[in-house]
Amino acid sequence: MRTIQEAAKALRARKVSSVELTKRCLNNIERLEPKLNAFITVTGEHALTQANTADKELAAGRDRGPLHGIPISLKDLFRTRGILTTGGSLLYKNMVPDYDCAVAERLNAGGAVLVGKTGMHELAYGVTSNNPHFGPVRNPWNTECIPGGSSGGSGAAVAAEMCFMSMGSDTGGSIRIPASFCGTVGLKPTFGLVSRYGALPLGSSLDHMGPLNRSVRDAALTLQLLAGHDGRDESSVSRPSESYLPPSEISLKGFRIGVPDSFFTDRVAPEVMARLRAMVQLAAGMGAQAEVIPIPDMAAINVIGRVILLSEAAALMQPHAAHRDEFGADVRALFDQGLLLPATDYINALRLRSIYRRQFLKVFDSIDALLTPTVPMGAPKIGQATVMIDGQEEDTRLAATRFVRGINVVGFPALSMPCGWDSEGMPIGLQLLGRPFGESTILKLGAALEDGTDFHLRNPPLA
Amino acid sequence: MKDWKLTSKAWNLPIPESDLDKIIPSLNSLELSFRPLVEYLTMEEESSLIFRMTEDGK
Repeated sequence: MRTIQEAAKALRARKVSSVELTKRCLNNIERLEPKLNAFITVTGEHALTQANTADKELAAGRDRGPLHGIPISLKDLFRTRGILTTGGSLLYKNMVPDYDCAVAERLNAGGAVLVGKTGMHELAYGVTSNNPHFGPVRNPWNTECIPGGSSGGSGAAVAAEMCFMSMGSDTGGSIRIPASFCGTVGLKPTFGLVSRYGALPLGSSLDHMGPLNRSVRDAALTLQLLAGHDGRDESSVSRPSESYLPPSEISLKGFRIGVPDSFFTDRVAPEVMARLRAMVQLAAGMGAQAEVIPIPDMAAINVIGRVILLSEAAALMQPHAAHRDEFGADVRALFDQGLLLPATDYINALRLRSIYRRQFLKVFDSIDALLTPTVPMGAPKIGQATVMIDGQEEDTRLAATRFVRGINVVGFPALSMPCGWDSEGMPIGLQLLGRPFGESTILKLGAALEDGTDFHLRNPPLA
Repeated sequence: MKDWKLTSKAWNLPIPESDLDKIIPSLNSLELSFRPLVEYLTMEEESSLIFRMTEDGK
């Protein structure tokens, strides 16, 4: 029983109880946590109480939906009432919020069972989840490798079956990178679709909240619960509700897929490129029309994203500038860089963003979805500062964010799903991009590709 | 190229010189790639700051 869909069906058929599902996850956590360090806080007692309630409600005919009774986890930047929320930082090492964030509210209302708060890169400001205060999170496919970040604990926990879903946040790829490195699905919704209220912020115009799952349809089910307007979040968008769940039988006839003519195909590990081509061929074999298309200057969009993030994060953290020693060296260096950028650069970056967002939107005049690699390589080793990609050395952080950061700048939806493994046995991710609020389109394509493969069924050896 | 150490001093930032040395290459690289982009901007281009008004002004 790997997916929410399967577990939900078994719960309603009384083949399993929520308490049993929860105990399985808690057992996996107990067994694997010493090797993975995926959690900052495990909420076992709380989870069993919630699971017991879910069982009673389901028995009484009160069905809160597909996540009712399903064990899940939250990245440790989602405020949870009465439960430690650290942000992976010493700044919040003792913070026990007196309220739930919007995501936790919706998951609670949907009957989900919280098994714990997952480890992360300090303050969500990095891609390794090698946290100096809580220790490195490790990749279930190879514990010498990073799980990616910043939602690294979420990626590891989902891949290792410590929970069925974990909520992450994505400011420059922080859902999609761990999804790619850990072989899970990761969904970054359109900016404004999922409320950020009560989540610790990093980049106020770049932060997105979304799930990591073991199947594309599970991501759709989770989004269904999370999407919706929230007046407490300035960026939240009010729009009619829609169904995100792809049908069980999908035809891609008439579906138009674009493959970028540049940037996303430059400096990519050959094995990653081979998997991208294979997935495009698979889609074409299902009836989709695939074409190579020109795209805007993504390198420029990434530069704009760096200016925006450095500025917004530095502004947020300025009150803590006197406590320099409480930051890890990499995070402190990023905050310092942001402090040195003038306001005019930030404003001009926002003006440039408008131009490139319009250009990026035009890409979707002729296609339904754009397919790219999520990350140009497999997961690096813990502590590895640079990576070699196709014979060229590159900074690990810049390489990992190269294909994902720009999508936060334009705010479009993005899905990462496993599409194979490299020769080191590490997962490779495929990124599916859609037009704003085009989640149902990329989820449909992702589900079709998933139906044609078995990548989502594979377990890491550790699990 | 900008004198980042002078900027830090002028703005009275609490960044030790040894830490500045570590970030200057990254800032220089960002400056080199960002500055040419700004030249494309025209006066008409507005910022994409998040500022949303409802009809009732709340």
